[in-house]
Amino acid sequence: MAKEISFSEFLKEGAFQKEAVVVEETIVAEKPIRIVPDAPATDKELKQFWKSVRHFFRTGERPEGVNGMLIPALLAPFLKAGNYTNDYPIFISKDGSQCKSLVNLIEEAFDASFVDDEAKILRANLPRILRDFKAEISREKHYVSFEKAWATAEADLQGVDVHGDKKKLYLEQIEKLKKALPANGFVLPFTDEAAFIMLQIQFENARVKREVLLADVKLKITSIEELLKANSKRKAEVGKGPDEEGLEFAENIINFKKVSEMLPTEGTQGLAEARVIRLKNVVEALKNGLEKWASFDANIIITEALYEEFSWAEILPKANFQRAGVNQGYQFTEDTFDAFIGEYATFIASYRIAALELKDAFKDDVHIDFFGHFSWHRLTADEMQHFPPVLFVGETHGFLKNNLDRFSALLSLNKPIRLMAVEKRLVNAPNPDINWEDASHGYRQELAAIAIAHRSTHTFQCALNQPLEVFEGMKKCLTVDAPSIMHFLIPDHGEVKLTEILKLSAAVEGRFFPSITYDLSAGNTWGSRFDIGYNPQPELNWPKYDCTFIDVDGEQKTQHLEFTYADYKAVTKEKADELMLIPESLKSNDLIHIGAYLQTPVDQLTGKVPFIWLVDEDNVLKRAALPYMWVVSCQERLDNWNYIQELGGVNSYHVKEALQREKAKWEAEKAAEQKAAKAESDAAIALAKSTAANEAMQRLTNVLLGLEDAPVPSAKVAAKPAAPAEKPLAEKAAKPTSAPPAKEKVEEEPSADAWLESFKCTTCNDCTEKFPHIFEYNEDKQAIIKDGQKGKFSELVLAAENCPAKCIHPGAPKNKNEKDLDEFVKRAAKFN
Amino acid sequence: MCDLSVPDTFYSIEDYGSSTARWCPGCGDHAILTAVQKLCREEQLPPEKTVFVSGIGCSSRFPHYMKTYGFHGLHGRAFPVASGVKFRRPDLDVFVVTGDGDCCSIGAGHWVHAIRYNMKMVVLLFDNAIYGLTKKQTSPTSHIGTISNTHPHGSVLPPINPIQTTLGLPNVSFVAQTIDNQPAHLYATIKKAYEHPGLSFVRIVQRCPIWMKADNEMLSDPNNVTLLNHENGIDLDPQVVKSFNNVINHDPSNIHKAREYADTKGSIPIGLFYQNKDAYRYDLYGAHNLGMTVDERIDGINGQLDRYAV
Repeated sequence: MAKEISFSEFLKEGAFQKEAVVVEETIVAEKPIRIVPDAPATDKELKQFWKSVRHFFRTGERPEGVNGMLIPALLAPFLKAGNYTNDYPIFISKDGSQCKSLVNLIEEAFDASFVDDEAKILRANLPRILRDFKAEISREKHYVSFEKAWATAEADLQGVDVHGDKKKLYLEQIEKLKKALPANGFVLPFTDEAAFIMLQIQFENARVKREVLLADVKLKITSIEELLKANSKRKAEVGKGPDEEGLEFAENIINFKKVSEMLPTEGTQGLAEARVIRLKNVVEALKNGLEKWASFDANIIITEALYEEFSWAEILPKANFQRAGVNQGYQFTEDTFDAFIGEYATFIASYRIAALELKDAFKDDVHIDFFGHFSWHRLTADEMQHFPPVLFVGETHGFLKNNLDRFSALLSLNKPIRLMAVEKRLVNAPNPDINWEDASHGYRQELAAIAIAHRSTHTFQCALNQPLEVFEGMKKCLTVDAPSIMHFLIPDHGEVKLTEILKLSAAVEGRFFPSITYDLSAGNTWGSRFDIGYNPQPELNWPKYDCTFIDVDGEQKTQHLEFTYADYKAVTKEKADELMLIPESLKSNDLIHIGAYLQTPVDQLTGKVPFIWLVDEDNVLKRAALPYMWVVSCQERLDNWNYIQELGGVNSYHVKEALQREKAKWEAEKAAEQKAAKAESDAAIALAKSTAANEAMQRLTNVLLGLEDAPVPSAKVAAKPAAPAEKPLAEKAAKPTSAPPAKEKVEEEPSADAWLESFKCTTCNDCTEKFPHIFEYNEDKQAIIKDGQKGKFSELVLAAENCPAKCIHPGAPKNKNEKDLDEFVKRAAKFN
Repeated sequence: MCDLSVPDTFYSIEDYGSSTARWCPGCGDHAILTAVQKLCREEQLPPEKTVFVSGIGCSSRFPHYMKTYGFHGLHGRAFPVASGVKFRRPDLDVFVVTGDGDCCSIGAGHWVHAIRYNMKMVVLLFDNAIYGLTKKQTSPTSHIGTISNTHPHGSVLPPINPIQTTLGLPNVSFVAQTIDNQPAHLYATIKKAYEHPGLSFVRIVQRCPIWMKADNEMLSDPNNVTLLNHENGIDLDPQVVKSFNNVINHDPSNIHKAREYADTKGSIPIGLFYQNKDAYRYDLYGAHNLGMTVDERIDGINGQLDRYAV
């Protein structure tokens, strides 16, 4: 009964907590995630410390002391109060068609009923519904019926104090919301029993469907009974002639015997004797079956260990249980299946016969033989749906350690038996009898991988932090027409806190327990059946997430961090205690994040130590060095994950190789094409250039010389470099340009004539003032050799030496008789 | 296709040349004069709308050799005069020609504020690292150890780096450096400076063939020059870029890198150090008097004062 609470009050968070039962631990992080700087360390301290770090890396022995409360950095934001998950509690409808989180259900129903700002009061009160459901869950055991919990919630909502005329509208809105919600169903919380409760709900869903079948069976029974009754009544009536009593006076006139032979007989032919017997048998079988198959949901063979832990009779009330050790369990499963399936086949056969008979479609010549050799292999998939499953439940390590050959044998039988393995050990507990190194170097046996190797076994592996996926997967496993195995990661037995969900999620993220589906119904090819889509970021080695934190200098930064197997291990306190913290002041470049460490080639790893980021209870980031054994186990998990990725077609080696080959081929073709095209176009351009240039030059010259009408040669004339002495006119006609000609000039043979690179000239007046008979300016005020014949060679050399742009090239002397020629030729050498 | 379209008036290089330049043969000033005249021809600047303002020094003989308007002013006062011209007549193209003594010594004060006011003009600093006109005294930009008449045993103070100094001033908007023996680069730099909206400061490292002969060799060695190249920098023909042995890619919007390159030792960095087209222009802020006659202005002022008449 809700107490009176004012409008403003119930918007405050704390208002609801008083009545709700709060079980979860809350680690409220007030401060932002940050790195806190340390006092700088001396070189000696650094050396000393790193000695101990390397020792720790090799041996796992770290200095004394407890590490305190530490969690992986990426998980820190999730540990705010109540922020663990919106997936639980989950709602499942009675027929199993709807399965979603309760929060989503309510939100969707609300959004469907009201638009925008409507129903503000109701919207504000929605958390009440959740709270009431949670209270109901904590009161009931195992699971809660939706109707019951909703009734409480509805009463609570209606009890809210809304003033005046708004009240009527408010109550109407509650009604509207109720209509949008389902009428009945189940609500499941997150507990260690969650997987089994889901099983129970699956059975309930199946039972609903089975009851349809059984109802039809009942109908058929009634119909056949009526048929038989009618038959027996008719048989009594058939064969009677006209009533001979009272007609004796006519004996001489009428031969009654003959008449009775001629008269038509009343009633129909009776049913054949064999048929009647058959019908009677069918009715018998159906009646027995009706009773039998409505009486239980499943046959469950369960290991001793598990049997003790849970109250099975309460969770799965209508299942038949058989306790067994693992080895016996395999035999029991096979035997139970054989026994029950035989009876079921008979039952279904009778049902089919009944159907045929009622339609009068039973053909003796065909059907007698058919049903004479009827075994369960003839049952259709639909018919098999209603067969209460035979299920063998045990713990994963039980299956792995006890006679795997029997496990394999059971799966190879190809009979549709179901196996359910639950894994509770969230961390590899090292066997204390085995040396630590040996234990860590060993590979984990993967149950799912072994199952898949049987090719016809439907396999589903998932952790309980993804309840919707688990429910759907479980449904398939229970109905597939082949042996199936489901493998779940569940929280350990006992008081289950919601932090356990984080651990399960971390197990999936850290690739400790990847989700695997090998769905036989998904297709005929191997690859199409295999799916790893339920995993976070399946295309990456480790999932990557952003970690925002405040750096030492107070700036906000974001790191893109990988969540590795080591991070998952560090979720457990005992494991986190194995690590060695590295203070900020003693960090070094030899510290590499484990994700990068695993990708680095071995020869570059000398002296490097891997680490992961953890935060303490104050939200301060700390680096934690990993011992070598952790590296080994990380690598092992990564190897397993890569194996699974390839199976799922992600990062597939063969696909990549094929792509590479295709790419190389395509690129080679393209390159060849491009080369050919370029060669073509280059040739075309060259041709166009030379013709166009020549034409233009000729035209220009013509115009300036007043020869507009002169013909323009279009033949290819090799353009000569501008030799100034020969073509002063062409020089003037040339467009003033500061672009230099091609560099090739430098490599040419030293020209005998003196020449000048005018574009380099800086107009310094040096050569033009000293030797005006040789040099003058062109239109751009840059020097040209106006007459190479005039002037002495010595003058050319002097000009070249003085020229600041070094653009004068004296060439070879024209006059061999000049004074001191040898000296000047020597000095000219470097300018030619 | 030849298309000879002849404009109404075409100014050729000779149209911009006045008297024969009397600088020493081999002086870098000739190269700069040629480059500026080429720019005027390229842009077809009307001589009556172009002004060259100078201070005192070899550099400052410049206005005499340009057939445009010119003002050959007092030592160190080229900036104030140019600012006044621009402010009163924003429609004119103003060029400031100054030397290392004129700008960095006596004119330093005006230099700072001219950069800050960022009025549209092209400033050409003819830096030959010596006082040439007065026959070899140490200049603020002379390198340590320069033997001069004022320092017969070599100068003792480290020189001012005009590029670094200018980059340190507020509201600086265009800083470039070029060298007199690279005519293509010289021309392209002055052209880009002309196009810049704001005050373009161009330092031209030049030789003095008479007083600084010792440096001739160093200055003309192409290995001693580093080209700062970028698509937003000085527009050079790719062939010209190839002729440089040292090329660095530098984005002119990066002032910090610019300051780094300004300190390059052992090589003369040429190119556009920094450009900011959005720096505040004081001429846009205040030069609105174009077209107002003196009488109109007097009337305007009187009108304002009349509001307070008693």
